[in-house]
Amino acid sequence: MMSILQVKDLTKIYGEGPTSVVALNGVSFRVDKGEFLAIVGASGSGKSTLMHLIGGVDRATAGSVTIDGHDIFKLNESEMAIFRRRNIGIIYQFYNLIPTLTAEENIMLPRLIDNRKPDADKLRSILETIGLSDRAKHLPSELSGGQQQRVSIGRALINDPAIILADEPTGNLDSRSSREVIDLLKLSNKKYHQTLIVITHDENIAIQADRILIISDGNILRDEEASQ
Amino acid sequence: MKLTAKLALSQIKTQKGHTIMTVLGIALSSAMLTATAGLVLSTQRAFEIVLGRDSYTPARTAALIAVGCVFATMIIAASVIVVSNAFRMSASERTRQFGILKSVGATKKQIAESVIYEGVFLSVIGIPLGVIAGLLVELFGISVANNSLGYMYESNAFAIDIRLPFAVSPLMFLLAVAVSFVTVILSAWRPARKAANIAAIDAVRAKGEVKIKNARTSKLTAKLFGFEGALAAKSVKRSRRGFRATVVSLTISIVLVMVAGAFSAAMNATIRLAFPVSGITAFAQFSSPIEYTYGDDSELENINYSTIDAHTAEKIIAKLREYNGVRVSGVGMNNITYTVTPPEEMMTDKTRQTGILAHGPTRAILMMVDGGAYAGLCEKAGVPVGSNILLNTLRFTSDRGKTSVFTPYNFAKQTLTLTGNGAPDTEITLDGVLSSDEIPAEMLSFGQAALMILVPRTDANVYHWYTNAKDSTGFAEYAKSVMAENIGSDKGLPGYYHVSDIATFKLQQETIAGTVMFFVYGFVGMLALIALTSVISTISTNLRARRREFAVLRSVGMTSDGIRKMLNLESVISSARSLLYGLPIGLLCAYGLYSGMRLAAEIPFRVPWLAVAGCVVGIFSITWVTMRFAASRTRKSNLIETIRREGV
Ligand SMILES: Nc1ncnc2c1ncn2[C@@H]1O[C@H](COP(=O)(O)OP(=O)(O)OP(=O)(O)O)[C@@H](O)[C@H]1O
Ligand SMILES: [Mg+2]
Repeated sequence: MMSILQVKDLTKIYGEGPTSVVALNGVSFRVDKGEFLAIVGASGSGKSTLMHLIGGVDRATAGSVTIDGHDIFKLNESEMAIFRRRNIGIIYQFYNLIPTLTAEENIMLPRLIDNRKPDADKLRSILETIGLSDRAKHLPSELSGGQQQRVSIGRALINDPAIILADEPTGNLDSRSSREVIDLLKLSNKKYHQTLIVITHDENIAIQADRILIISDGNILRDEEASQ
Repeated sequence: MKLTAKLALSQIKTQKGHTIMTVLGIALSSAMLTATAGLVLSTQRAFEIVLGRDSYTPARTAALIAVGCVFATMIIAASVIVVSNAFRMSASERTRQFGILKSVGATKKQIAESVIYEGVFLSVIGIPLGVIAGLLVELFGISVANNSLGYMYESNAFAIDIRLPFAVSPLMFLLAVAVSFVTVILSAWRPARKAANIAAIDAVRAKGEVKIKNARTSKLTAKLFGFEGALAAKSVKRSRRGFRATVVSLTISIVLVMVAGAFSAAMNATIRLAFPVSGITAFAQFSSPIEYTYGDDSELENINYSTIDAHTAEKIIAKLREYNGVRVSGVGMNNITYTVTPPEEMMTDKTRQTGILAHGPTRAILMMVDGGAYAGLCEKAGVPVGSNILLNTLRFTSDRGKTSVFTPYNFAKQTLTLTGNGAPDTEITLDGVLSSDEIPAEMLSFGQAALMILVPRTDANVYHWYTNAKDSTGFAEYAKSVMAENIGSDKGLPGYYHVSDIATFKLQQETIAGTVMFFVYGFVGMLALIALTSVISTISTNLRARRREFAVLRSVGMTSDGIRKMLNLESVISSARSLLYGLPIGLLCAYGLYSGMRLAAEIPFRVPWLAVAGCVVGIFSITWVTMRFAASRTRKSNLIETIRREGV
């Protein structure tokens, strides 16, 4: 099967000289299209760093990330931005919504940025999927934490990205909301055949994945198929 | 609407205080630009009306435009500083928003665009308001100018009746709008580029200000002001940029106020210099023609001049008093007939130092005053009427232009020999003395390097009649007729006369000065206002950005009093700092201004204490009031709400 994501010798060093921190130390792995990958590891092991590099919001010290045949570090900034808005959906632990925009506007954000026509049908189906049809016109401050996170998932899904990256998407939620969020992510993973990469501390979530990557001190400790 | 535009608009809508202040700043600067353009245009029209069109018209127009450009440059400079600060603040408030946009794939261009849109929206509100206000300012300025121009014409100071017409032209509007708009967009440019260049990763992580350095504060601060003081010092050090913007704007205002204060003091000093004798509203003068004849060996052979005797002078006084019974005093002098060589021991050290009277014969001036005044002066000097009194004063201006008044002679009762020029020598006994501050000012208006002696009566080649009549213009008319009746070869008193309506002249000078001051203060005041809008919005934005900090401080148990104390100290620190920079710079500028004006008139440099005091009080109250106002608004917001909202 063709791999959608290919990470090769990825290294990230923060700072310089004696105070520098090696956050990633030559990490390599591949992810197949449609796969659900969980990344786990101790705090400070380099998970978020890895995700920022894959998402193209940060630049690596060495190594490459290839998504769908594009070496993303070869793209210049605006090419990267356009590539990201069309191919990658990012979900953070803190929902990172724009407080002055309504839920539906936040969901439409990647499209609005692309100057593309808001697609009403697509929006409706996403709102239905995330279960917020009746909250579409609300501002983020009027939503609960779980609802806000669902909005940010909707935002990640709106452009049918090839890859969804989620950094501790349930880190701030209670168990019920967590379950809803993960079910939602899994649903779109199965339904639209999107590749899903989730960073998590939650074992219950990790065991639902097709594959688990364990990271320790910037290295891959283990890479195992889940025993489903 | 495009998303970038929409986000800019929502920033404008949510940050109301900041928006209002920025719009005010933009409006003020475009008002000033409009008014400047309008006044230039209207002055140009006035010239054209009075002088007509001739070959100099283009040159005059060019000169006017050049003056306009100088003012415009100052206005633009102030507004660039202020408006770019406003955009920097709003961009840094939006850092997080830009990070989110970037992580969903917005390009640099789109981020920059969003900041520029903010500039466009603010201009759309601010510039039209400013242009309207500018027209009102122009109208007001013109009416003030015309008021004094009209007075000048009526009081015969100007031969022609110049009035400024209220003038507008499409070009002027276009220019004001275009320049204002370009100023705003230019100011937004750098903050926009900076915002676009923030790495997405930093922006997403950032909770407000991007980088926070560890700020150390001295133990002394903590000891003096407690924990709150240490916190205040820390936050001043940390958000250096915000505080710097406040300090720069306050410093600009201080410098402006100081310069205006110095300018007004210098103007007043110049007027005072022109009218040293206060209380006098008009005077008439007799002066004799003087003819020198020289012999074959070009030796001075004879001086031919006419004089007025005490009797005639008193007669004229009586005549002048008939005008509504006003008070008239007279001073006359003979400064031609005699020279004197005072004995060496009579010289004071100061006289020897200056060398002004030291060597050889000096002029001897014999002075007389009207009978009543003479009796008064004799009493002052403690001598009987009929005595000769030494007027022991000298006004001296050095090569460097410094004027001083000092005592030239050591007085002792003695007899001096006066050498007559074309007249027999004579002896005179000095019976008493009057010092600088005992001598009436009008006697000193003759001020010369000479030995001055007040005598009971003499034949004067110059005589002045002074009055303090209220109706100086009427008195001057009347005095002219009296002079015409008494002075002239055919009237037995050959000589010239001249009548001066001082009060009116002084009023004219003051009117001109007042008008100039109106424009200077207006200009400076508006520039300072522009700077102040920046101060207010910087302080309140800073406080808003720190809502979370306050919420956290309160959640760990800091009282509102504690927070208030912290904010008070912060405002004291930034005020003190801007005074530290502003006062010396302002003084320097004021001194520069004086040096420039001294080229035209002899005025002493004085520190404009009034302006200094005004600045100190003004600065402290402005920062304090703003802080308190902004703080009271943040305090109203709910603690949990704040922490929660900031987490969005
Ligand atoms: N901007 C930075 N500058 C310097 N060091 C950094 C920076 N960001 C991360 N690090 C360091 O890099 C290492 C990896 O950080 P990273 O955020 O990837 O950890 P993580 O696995 O996501 O941890 P957590 O589970 O707590 O989120 C850590 O040691 C961290 O201290
Ligand atoms: Mg992390």
